[in-house]
Amino acid sequence: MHFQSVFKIKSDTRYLTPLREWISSVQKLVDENDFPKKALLPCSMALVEAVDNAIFHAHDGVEDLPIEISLVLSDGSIVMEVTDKGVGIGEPVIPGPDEMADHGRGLFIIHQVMSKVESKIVDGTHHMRMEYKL
Amino acid sequence: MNIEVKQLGNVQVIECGGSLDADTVSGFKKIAYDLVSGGSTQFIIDCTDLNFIDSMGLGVLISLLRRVRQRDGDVKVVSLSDDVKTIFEITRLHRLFDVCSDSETAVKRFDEIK
Repeated sequence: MHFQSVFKIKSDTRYLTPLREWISSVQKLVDENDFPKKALLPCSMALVEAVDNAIFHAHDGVEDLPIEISLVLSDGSIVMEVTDKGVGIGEPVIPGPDEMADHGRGLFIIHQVMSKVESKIVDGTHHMRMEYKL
Repeated sequence: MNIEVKQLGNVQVIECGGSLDADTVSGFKKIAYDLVSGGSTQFIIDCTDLNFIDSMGLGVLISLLRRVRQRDGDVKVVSLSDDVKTIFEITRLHRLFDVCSDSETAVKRFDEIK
């Protein structure tokens, strides 16, 4: 493992921009081989969509419910995990939502930009694990 | 997020700066929908200073597009940054919206329809 960070936020959309700034700072901080610049946009997109999902679907806008976010950089992969109190997510619509639909793109985006996505419930807590293979 | 509205003839130009995401989408929505309620049907979304858009931001653009196309209008998207252009391509919205290089080009496209 080359880098690890874990923290909690409230279920509040005000964290979205700071989260993107944080992941951008990590990318600048670590070795380019561990977090290439080309991985920054996909990881930012997936993280924002996963947190959106936790805020609006898992926690239904209840601000006090915490969302835990972890980022691990290890040989050959960037792994982000978003943990919430929800019941998990369904499978994304493939090949994608109806083009004129104004919702339902979040999960599709995550699956489009990440190499592997897993959603599981552990001890009543939902974990969305998103892996970007380098 | 910074939003400014300018008018070029009958075309409303909404200049967006920063991030159009779940946190900022309601402000954009109110401004855009108020313009639609006031009779505007031709929109340019100027993304020169827009650095990020999430699925909820994309959703409100699609919702605006649907509303104005019902009234024979259109929403044209201009001056996409590399990141926002990539997001449009990943979500295939570059095929749904008329994406133009700049506002001048977009206004000409509206004029061609007349």
